[in-house]
Amino acid sequence: MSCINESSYLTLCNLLCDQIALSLPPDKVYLAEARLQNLAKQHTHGDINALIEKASTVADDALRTELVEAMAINETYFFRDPILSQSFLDTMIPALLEKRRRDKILRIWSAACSTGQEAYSVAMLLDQHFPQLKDWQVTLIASDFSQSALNKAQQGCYGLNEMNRGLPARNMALYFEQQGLDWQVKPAIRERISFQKINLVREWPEDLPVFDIVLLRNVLLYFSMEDRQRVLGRVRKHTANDGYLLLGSTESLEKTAGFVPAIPGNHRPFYQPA
Amino acid sequence: MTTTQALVIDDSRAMRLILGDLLQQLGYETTEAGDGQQAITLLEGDDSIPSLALVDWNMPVMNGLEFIRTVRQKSCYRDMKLLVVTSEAEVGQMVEALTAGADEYLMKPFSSEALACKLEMMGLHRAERA
Repeated sequence: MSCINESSYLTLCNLLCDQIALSLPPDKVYLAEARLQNLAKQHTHGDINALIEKASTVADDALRTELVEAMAINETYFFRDPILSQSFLDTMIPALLEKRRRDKILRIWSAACSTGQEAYSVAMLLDQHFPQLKDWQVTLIASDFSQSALNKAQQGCYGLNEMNRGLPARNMALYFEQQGLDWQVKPAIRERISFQKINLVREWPEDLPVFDIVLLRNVLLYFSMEDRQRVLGRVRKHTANDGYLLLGSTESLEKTAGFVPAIPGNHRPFYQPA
Repeated sequence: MTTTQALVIDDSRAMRLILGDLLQQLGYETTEAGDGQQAITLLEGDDSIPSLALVDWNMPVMNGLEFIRTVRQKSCYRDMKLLVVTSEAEVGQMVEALTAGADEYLMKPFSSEALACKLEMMGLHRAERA
């Protein structure tokens, strides 16, 4: 395997920061080497330094996209954080059912959905626990910067290892159908989610609505402080004043972020606009 | 470190070793049985009830489904969590196991992380934290 030299690694870090605001620490050279190995075989005879050079200098958007997607962190699984699912069930949805009972409109955004497990988990939770929402207009948007991740998310097809991680057997039996060795989310659930390509650090669609719940989980931790503040500022504009922002279970927000803990003194990572 | 008892029921000795090893890494103390009947005999001959049993589906003498039905009929085992660990991946069988009283279902092959994840879903954290 070819090794990445210092100059190429710096170029790669700058490229990732520019494209998706991913702040790659200096000690992740081994990770870059492992992730770019196959791409380098396809494009530059296995030379990773040449691959980085080509992707950063040649006007080849497709190659640049492939490289960025290869480096992206797509770690996700169904019902990733039970405490958050519980907060969703006990606090957020019941409160919103009450607040929105006249309009009967609920909008949820999974803002970095990766391969879709988070959005499908939300759709399953709503279906299982809130049958009254059948009369409501529920918009569930799932977005990611990566087209390949979105394609997989949209297909809703998962292998054994993905199915074994976090998905209760009951949900598997209820909401999935077998497709050979894989399992696919049933159309009734798939059709409830609208998948969109959105890069959080680039332009957002003009018609992106204001949401009642924004899930921005395990994303901000990869951003620089500046990008983090910028993205949070835009998320704030797309969060209803009485809506919620959910972060990853180990994440928290500084006081200047424009959000405050939804339950004062509660350290579970869900917030409301200040 | 506090240890918690787990029972591994599988007709494959290799599988029992693998599962036992994974559970021990999670802080469990394990006992083994080669089929459902052997597991029942073990349970009846011991005063302490394991907090968890990993149950294979296809086994001689008494298969996993019969084992689940048998233990779920006895109130003394109602707190014992039952995780079916099997290469059977049919939805029908999964539903049958859950209806019989299994708490969760893990399909082979699986990673150690997937096993830990299932245990957490079942309310069984790593045994040392219990």
